[in-house]
Amino acid sequence: MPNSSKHHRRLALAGYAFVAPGMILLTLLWFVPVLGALYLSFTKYAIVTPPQWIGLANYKRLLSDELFLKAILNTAYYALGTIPVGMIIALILAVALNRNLRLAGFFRLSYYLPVITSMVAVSMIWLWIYNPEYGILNFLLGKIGISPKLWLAHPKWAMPSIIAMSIWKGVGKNMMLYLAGLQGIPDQLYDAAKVDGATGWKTFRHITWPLLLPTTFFILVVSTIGSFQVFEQVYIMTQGGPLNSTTTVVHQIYQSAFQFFKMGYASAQAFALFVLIFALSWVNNRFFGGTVDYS
Amino acid sequence: MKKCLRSLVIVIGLLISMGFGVVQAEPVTLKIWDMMSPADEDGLLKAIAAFEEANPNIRIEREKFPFAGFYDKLLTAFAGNSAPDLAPVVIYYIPQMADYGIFVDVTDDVSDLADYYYPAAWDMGTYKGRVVGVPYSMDPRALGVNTAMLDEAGVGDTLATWDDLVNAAGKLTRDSNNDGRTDVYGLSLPSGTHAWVFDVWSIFTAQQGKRLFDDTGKPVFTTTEAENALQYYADFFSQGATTPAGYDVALRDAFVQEKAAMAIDGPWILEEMPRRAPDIDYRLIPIPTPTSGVPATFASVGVWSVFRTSKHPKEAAQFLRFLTEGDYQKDRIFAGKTSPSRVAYQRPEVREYLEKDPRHAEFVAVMDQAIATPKSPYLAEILATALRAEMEAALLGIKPVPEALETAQKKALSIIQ
Amino acid sequence: MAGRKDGQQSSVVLIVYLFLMVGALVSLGPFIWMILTSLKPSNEVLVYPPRLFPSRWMWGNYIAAWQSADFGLYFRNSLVYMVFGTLGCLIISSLAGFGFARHEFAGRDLMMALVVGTMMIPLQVRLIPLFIMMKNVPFAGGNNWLGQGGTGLHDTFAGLILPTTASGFGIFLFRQFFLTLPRELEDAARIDGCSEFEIYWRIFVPLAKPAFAVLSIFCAQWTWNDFLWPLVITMSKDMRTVQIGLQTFRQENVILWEMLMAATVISTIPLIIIFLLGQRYFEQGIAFSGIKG
Repeated sequence: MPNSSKHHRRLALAGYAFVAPGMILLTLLWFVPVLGALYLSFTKYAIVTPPQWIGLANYKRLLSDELFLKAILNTAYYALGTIPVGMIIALILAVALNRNLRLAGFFRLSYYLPVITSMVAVSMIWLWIYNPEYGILNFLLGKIGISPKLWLAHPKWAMPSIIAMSIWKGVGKNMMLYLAGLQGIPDQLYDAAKVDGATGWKTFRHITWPLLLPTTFFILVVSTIGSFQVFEQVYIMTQGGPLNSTTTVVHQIYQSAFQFFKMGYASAQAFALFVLIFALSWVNNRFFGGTVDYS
Repeated sequence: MKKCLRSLVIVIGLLISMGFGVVQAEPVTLKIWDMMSPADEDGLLKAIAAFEEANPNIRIEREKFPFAGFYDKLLTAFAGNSAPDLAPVVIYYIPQMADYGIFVDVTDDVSDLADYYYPAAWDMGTYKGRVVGVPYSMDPRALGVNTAMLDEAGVGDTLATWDDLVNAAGKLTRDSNNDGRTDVYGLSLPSGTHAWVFDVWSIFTAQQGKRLFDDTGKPVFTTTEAENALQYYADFFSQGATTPAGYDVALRDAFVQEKAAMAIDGPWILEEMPRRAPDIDYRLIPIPTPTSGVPATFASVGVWSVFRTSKHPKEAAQFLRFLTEGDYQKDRIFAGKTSPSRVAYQRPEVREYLEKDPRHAEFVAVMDQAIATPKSPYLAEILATALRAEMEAALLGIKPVPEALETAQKKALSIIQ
Repeated sequence: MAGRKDGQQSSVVLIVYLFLMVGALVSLGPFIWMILTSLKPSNEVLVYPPRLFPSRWMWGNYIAAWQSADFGLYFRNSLVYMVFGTLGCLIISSLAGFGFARHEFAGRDLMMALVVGTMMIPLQVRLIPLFIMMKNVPFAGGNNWLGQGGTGLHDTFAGLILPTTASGFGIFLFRQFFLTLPRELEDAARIDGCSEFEIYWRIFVPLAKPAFAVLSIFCAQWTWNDFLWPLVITMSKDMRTVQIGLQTFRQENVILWEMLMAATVISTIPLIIIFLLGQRYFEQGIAFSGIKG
């Protein structure tokens, strides 16, 4: 038996060695710019002129910014709309495609294709699909007797329309992640379960689901972070309207920085977002975090 | 002795001429970044070549970028101190950047060039009395009308007043396939999130003799004229005479597909119609004015500016002069672009060209009555956070016009604080 | 009993196929539309009633789109960005993920939280500080040891690629994946006297094929579709990437639809190829029994 503390020290040193390249690069390329952005959040910075220190003024202004609050609510709405539905569909697809079905490869490609198509092209196609007068969606709905809807031009339906499109675009990505997770479950466990006479649902509940928890946790955290940063679709399709129903936090940040030349304020908005996401991730961690024991 | 003296004279002569800079000046490189569309690019490339030939000590390095993200990139470059010497600046960026002092004041170098350009265009390049940019593009708006559709409806003998337009739009709106739903509209006006909503409202307001921002850059949204203008605009929607909100995926879709008989549009229509709808016969006429109003339209103007970070502002200003005095605008016109240069339009070869392209000539005819973007450094923020949602609400009929404008005015004023 | 079960089994499979087919159609629909649009002449692109097939098949659109800008050069640049960015990301993420998952050291959980935290700050506010940092890298692009005087890593592949290699997402992904692998593997290896690196290289890396495949696909897609960072970090035409080229079809007031769609289809093909290559790893199961060290 190896000497315990020497063993632990050796493992610890090895641990540092393994994470070092990543941590060094992350520090230089992420933490440092983030600290830079933090500094900027205490300044008035119009980009074309040097930053001027103004202390907490940006944060004070943030507290009474109604439009930013609306953006947070819109973003939360978007997250709630896309994450659960998207994850469930992705899980179902992954379970269905995690076997050598004929055409499995074709199906996987079909579901992944929206993910790899550029958001610009996708947004423009969906603008066309959602067009109230001649879009294909209203055209098809008309064929089954449903009257045309305004979709992106309607204050109540614009965000759900963007949510639907985003689920369509993102489901393939989570499906791939679940597939990777499913692949990590050893076949012996399934064989053993079959021998014990377990049915499909029982197998799923007692073997698949628990062993997928690290993957589920990963997807949940990454999806939360990602959905709170939704920007491109809004920028291209609705520019935040109608009636500010689709403006999101990052959309506000982008506008503040590059359209109003208020980079200091934008940085403050970004840190408000960070606090929000961090809090949510912490909540995620409480419910889904932790490792899984194989026994 | 004589030989010695002669050599001495020559040497002294050379020294003197070098001192006076008669011999070649130091070579200078100017960096230009732009986002020109192909039609605009040709004129620029020709101008660059001609300028380099006329000024052998100046080299121009040009980098071309797509329009999308151009200003994000330009701003980032400023932050990193790697901005170019010259770049075109458009819309609200002009007064905003000018306000932060990022442009070189070129008044001393180019102020005599004012007469080359239409007043609205030249004015766009000045800020607080100093010249900070020379206009290169001017795109006025006119009313495009589908001649066949107008003839069919028996409309269009006179489209001179607001009432004329309302009547015509009403007559042209119909249910063409008898399925119970209107599918052809009289007009196609921008609505909702479209960037041109503010411009169209400015036109209707200016036609009554008022502006939406005063000379100090303060918003003035609650005048009677501004309210009348927005009400007139909103009535087209409430009466269903214009394509409803969200119709256009891209600009002028309705007009191109003959789903709208008329549309307020700019010179890009000249480029798009031959490609997308070559069979449609259309005319351009000035936008109808209210009775006892003044002719007015909106023109978006782009200017070439020199940046404060440039190491060669004098040479860059020289380039601005060259663009004005040379063939640059003429080449642009021949490529189908409208020009801010009054002088260019008076050249005989250009006059000849206009005779063959009456639609282009129509745009030229309204240049003098054009107003440009308000020179408020807060325009972008006011539009995005105070005005846009209120205008949408008014046009969708959700809020009465006076209330919407009151709210917008209050919010706009608080932004300026 | 067995017979009935088989009957149920095949009807279940049929229903599954049906759902998958419908879903695939929904997924593919817009993409098929994009392809059809790319083959239409300009005046048929956005018409009502919607027109499925072009009246003339404009294969020439693809040639015109390709020739409208230097796409050959852009493809090469995007390829370099994609390949090296992905390789760098895979190496660094798997190493770090292994360290976080299977070693205990002081500050580990804090570091992990920070790693995940990096994903929470949007690019828009990091952009300028990162851009300035890239300019002031010592000894790069004509800079002195203080990082002054030259252009640093601006307009270089290194500047373009480096930010991708440090990926909180990648590290987090590998850490989660490695957590699912049983401890017995490495315990056995350690007893046998393997070094940590051998354990990483000989045991964990081969078992993590699905994770490598997934991260490669994601990284490839992310770098290939990246627009803002390449736009900002590159200056000269020689460094432009495919996405920047695509945007030339969106001018200020005119969109060249059929060209944009054609160019988008062309630029999606490499990603499809990578996907097809990568997802072969999803057809292999993993058997733990009988693994020899």
